[in-house]
Amino acid sequence: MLGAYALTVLTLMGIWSIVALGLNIITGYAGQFNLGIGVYMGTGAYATAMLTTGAGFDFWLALPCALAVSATMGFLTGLPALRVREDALAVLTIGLVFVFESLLVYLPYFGGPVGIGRIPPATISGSPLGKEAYLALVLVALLLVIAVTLYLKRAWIGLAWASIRESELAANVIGIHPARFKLYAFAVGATFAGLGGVLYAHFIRYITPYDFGFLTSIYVLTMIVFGGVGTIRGAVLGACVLTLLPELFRFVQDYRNLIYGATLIALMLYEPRGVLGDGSFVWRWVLAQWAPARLALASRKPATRASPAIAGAGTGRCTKSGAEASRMRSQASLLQTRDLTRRFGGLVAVNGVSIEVFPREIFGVIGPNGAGKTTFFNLLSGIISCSSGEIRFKEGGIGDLAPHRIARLGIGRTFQIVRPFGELSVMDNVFAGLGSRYCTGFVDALGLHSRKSFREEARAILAQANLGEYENETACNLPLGLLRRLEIARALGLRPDLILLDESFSGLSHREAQSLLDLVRSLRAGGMTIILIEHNMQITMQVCDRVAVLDRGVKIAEGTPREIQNDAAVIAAYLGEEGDA
Amino acid sequence: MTLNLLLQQLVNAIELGSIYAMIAVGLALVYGVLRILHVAQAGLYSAGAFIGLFFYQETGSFPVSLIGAMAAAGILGALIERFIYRPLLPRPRIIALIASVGLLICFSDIFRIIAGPNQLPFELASLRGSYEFGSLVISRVDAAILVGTAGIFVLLWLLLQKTKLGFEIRAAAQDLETAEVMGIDVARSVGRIFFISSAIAAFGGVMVGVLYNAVYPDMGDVIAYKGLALIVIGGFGSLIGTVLASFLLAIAETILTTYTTVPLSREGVAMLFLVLLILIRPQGLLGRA
Repeated sequence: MLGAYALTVLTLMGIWSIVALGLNIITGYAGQFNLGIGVYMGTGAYATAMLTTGAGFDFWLALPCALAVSATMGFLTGLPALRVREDALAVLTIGLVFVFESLLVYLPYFGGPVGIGRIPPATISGSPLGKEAYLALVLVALLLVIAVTLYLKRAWIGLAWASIRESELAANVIGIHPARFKLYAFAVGATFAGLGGVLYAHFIRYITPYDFGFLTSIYVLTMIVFGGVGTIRGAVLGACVLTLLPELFRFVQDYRNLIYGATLIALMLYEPRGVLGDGSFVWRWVLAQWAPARLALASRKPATRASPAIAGAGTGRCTKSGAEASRMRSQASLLQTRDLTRRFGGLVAVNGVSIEVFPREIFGVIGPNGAGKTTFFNLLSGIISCSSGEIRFKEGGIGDLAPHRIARLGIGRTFQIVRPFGELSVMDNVFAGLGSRYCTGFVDALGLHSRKSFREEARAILAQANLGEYENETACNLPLGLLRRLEIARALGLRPDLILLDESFSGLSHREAQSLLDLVRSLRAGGMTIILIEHNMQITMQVCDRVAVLDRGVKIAEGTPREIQNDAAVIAAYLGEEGDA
Repeated sequence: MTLNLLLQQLVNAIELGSIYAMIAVGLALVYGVLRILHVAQAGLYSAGAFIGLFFYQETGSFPVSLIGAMAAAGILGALIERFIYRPLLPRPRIIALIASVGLLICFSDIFRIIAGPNQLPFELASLRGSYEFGSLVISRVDAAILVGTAGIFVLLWLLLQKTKLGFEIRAAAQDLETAEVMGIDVARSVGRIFFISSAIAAFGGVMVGVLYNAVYPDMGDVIAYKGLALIVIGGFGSLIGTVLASFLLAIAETILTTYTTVPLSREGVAMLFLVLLILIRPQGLLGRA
């Protein structure tokens, strides 16, 4: 049997692992800095302490109540956190942990600086749990938390978190509402940390405000950074090592903090991914040891090969006959802007632009640098709001909608500087795009995204974008040409009626550009409408049905490529006025 | 009488604001160029106090100890930049923040090991006593802090606005890479920024040590977190915003803790101020949206 001391250390390891896994959800999965996890641990601990000592609740009744209070706390503290990012968010969470500690000390309800003592032990059918039984309870709780974490990571919600972590803007334009999923992350992470707090309170049975302050929060952050942010193994390893270290280093008690601080610095300098993080030295070694076994396993599975990419390649159906053009114009327009204007201070980036784009049209927006083309796209996709004017899509006004709403109505887009979800696989990038169609409510968000039907749809999209062979590749390893196609593939998950391509051709080799051109044409052949911003005149002339020319925010010309080429105003804008060049 | 009390409180608040500003301006300078939350600045603040006390005990001259502390802390700051922050710059920013927390922990532990955990007195006879203006009493230490801070800020402003180094620093703060391409020795400018901000922090540390007649290992902890709050409130990297925030916070704290019974500590008030401001104006007082 284990001694009492070993039982205590093991129980604490389990409790800190649970808290660390809570922070792992918020910071590791959703990518939101949080230096105040102590708030949620403390909320759980204080809730259960007050309910069991003050209100006479039983442990098993107090537990769900305390978890609900912790989740609510996560939600409430998440609200101000939505307004800031990165560094400001880190500082805000430091602020919250100080306010929390201060309230516990100074408000009369929480026992002041001495906290709450005589917390009753956990019981099973009336009899208190012994040390062994409590350790078992903590381990069961830890396994449960790990199982939930594993599940969430594979569900739509986990994919949405990863997308937001990799690029909030890109997630937003494929229909993910960042604020909503961030709040989910805060609530789930707070629930885990609150569970850790409950278990801590009934184990130590005496809590003070200072147990859950800033230093505790930093301590938990160190755990996940030590083990590897964003991994379950890392959070558990970090929690175990950091709980054990002080015990092991008792003989150098005097230098403990110094060693702790120095370790932190050395780790950041030499292994910032954490000891067991993805791509860390140790983890690569572990994977290498396993590789033969894994290969043997994989070879027994039937090979699942992506279907060869065919769609789009070489169709080259670009008809610009007058008959088709007039047919398009006789239809109702798909997208229409009226006097669209956007001011930045004194600068009018987009000035009274009106365009009308018809179904199945390829519409070009060209103009010199600084003409307001990208601002125009940002207005269409809702990333910035217009100062005045109107945008109508499928006969509905979309000028005041948020990006994720616009995306769900069926407008996809790419970025001039590509924003792939770099750490995710190519397949997951496309899944994320599909997500907004299949995961609309909280319950949907808990569904798994890797089900067969979704996989087939994602494969079809990858095949269309000619990316089938890369489905398991990590996105950031792809060259630019493939990343541009990946952004299009991701947007195709929305089943959009309209795709906005922001200089998708720039920086591509001739061959890459031609193959992208084929993709664009095949999309149109499939019934899609495309607006593209382009610098390359040759591409514009090859592919566009009609072109609008912007110069200093104003539309100076519109027409077929041929008309535009001969337009005096356009020539002046590109080459400068006579005598000016 | 009440007016007099108010005036006295105002003097206290301005003094407190000066101390905040001395830490926060350094943080804002560093954040401006490197976008690093330099928590370890507080370690340099207490380093300044300890080194100053050491020099004072050895030489008996306060000016020597003040200048010695500022120079030593400045060099220490530059070394931290060179050997810890610079290699971490390409990494995600939370990495540098965690390393900085590690540094702060190391700092307070080193002083605890060398000088013991207790408060050491910083007895300075020449700054005891006070000036009286009618019924308003200002101690000599207070006066020294106010005059010193004002002097330092004027010097800093002149440096930033009128010298080549200041121009280089401002260019680096705008855009590190472009400044580099334009032929500015960015590494050198950044090193000097660390020297300057650490020296200012050390000045603050020495003066606070004298003010409270106490120097102790974790004297910088609370002010470190408040400093972070201040650069967020001021609007990241905005020096004027940061100074403004320092004085506003000091006034708010002084008034709230003197005239009301809010159930919060001074830290609690400061952080509540931060949380509320982020709700109303996430970009900070003078930050750009």
